[in-house]
Amino acid sequence: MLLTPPLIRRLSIDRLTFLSTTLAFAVFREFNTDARLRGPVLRIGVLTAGGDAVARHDGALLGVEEAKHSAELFGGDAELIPIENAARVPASLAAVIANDSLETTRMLASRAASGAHLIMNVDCTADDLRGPSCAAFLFHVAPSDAMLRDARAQAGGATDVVAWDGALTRFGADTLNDRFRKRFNRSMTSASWAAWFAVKALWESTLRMKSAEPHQLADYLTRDTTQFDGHKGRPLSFRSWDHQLRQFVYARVGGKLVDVPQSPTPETTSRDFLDKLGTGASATTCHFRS
Amino acid sequence: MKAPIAFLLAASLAPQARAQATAFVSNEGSHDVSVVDLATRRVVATIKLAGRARGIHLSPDDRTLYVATSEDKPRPGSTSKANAITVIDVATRKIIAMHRIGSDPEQFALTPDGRFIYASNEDGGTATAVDTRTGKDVATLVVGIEPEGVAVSPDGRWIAVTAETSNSLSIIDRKKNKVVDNLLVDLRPRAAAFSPDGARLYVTAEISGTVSVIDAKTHALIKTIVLNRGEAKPVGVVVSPDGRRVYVVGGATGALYAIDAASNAVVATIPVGKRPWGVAVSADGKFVYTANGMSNDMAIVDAAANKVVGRVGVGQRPWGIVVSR
Repeated sequence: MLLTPPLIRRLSIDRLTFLSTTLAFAVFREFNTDARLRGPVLRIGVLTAGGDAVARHDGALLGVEEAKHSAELFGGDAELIPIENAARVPASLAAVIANDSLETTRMLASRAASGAHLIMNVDCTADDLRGPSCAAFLFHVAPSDAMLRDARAQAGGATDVVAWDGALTRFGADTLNDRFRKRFNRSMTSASWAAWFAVKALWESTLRMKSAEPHQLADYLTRDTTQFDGHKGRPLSFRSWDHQLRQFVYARVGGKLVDVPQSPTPETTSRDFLDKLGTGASATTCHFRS
Repeated sequence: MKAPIAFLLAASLAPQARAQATAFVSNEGSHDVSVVDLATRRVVATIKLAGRARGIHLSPDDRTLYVATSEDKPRPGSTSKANAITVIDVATRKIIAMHRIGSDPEQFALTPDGRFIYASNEDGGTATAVDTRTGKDVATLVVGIEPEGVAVSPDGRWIAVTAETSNSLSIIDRKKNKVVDNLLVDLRPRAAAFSPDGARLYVTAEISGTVSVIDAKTHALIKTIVLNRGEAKPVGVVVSPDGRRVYVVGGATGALYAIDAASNAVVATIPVGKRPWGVAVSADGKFVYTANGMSNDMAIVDAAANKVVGRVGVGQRPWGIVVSR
């Protein structure tokens, strides 16, 4: 798979921007050297081909830049490594952000079956990946086709269902959308959000486990008590039976964005409520081989 | 004869103490502050502001009121004059200064000597210390991403700043004006409060629906209190003057949670109104007040009975509340 010329330009500009930003930080910010402890280095690869590669890359880059800011406080570091050939993933990576292709994601997951790294699915909705082709080290931030179907059925007249939209404002979505727009001069799309969230979840796991080792990260992601804030107003978590992220999706109905499922009551737990979308534990066809 | 004396004392002192007590409620929607006389439970004045009013604090002598205002829709890098900490003279209810702090001021705290404001800069990942006499920045410190709640220890030595995206709490040593420690807390930490003896630090986490009880000296987590199975969306937190009760408001449940500080257990859940975010306690600890964002009112809660005993309609979308002595 080849890098398209515009993306090559984008990636090299990003490196330049990043270098200058880092320099600016070093000059203007008072560094607290005591807090810059040694710590785990989270290396994340991102596929540079397939789907909206720029949206995916930018989301992941925002996540990594935020992780670097956090590393100023907690130590450690995060790095984003563009992967041009999905068949040749460096062994040093803790995780790979995949693309929209079922075949590519399946191949990545099968090659990482022993936990060489985690595969973060941010753009492929195929139910197959959450069912027969599920894998212990494969995690889905992108909603599944089953979730999108349920959302359409719950929101009458929906013309589209998305995981994110640049116009969302509630629950801190406005601050995230503003950060993204300010950094990349365009809207945060579903793929950008999912890539950003994948990095955020991995970095938080790294901090809480004090390790960026893939088995440790998978352990944290699958704990019953683990949850994340994705600026969607309720805690999000990965389902134990297929590693699908429980989350709200947004239906476009008559020019408006509607949360699906519709706002939960405080009497229902977020987990139960969000499990109204997609394949439940009893219906799953996923059997993890370990 | 003890009871009648106590009764007489209470009767002679209480009205006097109450007559002076005033609540100030910042209204996000109507861009103003409602001044509520707590003796009569009436709005006695409305102070018009330049923008969306959120964080609100009184100077230690109760003479000066500080309110964070911003534009309705935050714009990164905006130079609008609405983005400021507005300084109000309590006696005349007039605006006497507007300190420019960042592009979207929301939360801040005042040091006990009234000399410095520590404010979180949501879009900058920093906290800024401002001299209240000059309105000038004296330090800018790197904290977590999307900084929010700010609390100052009673001795003025430590400043705690929460950060909503990085789920972190940064501790600033005011003597060095340096971040000396960073802690991971629960999801989307919104507000923090020290106990009056400075031993405990309470942090609410909106998305986790919890309150973290932290040892303010060692920074060790003592306990995580889960509110309404984690679905309460807690925001404001305040500790009673005697340190025995911690009051937290749950935005999703419309409830005030009274927590026993000794056992860290919820001892009462009091329905107060729709989406309460701001909470304050009277100087004598007898009343707790909540700002109910979607009911456009404040609730007055009797702290002994754990019951709402009064309501005062305020401006649109009340956000924060402070009470004078």
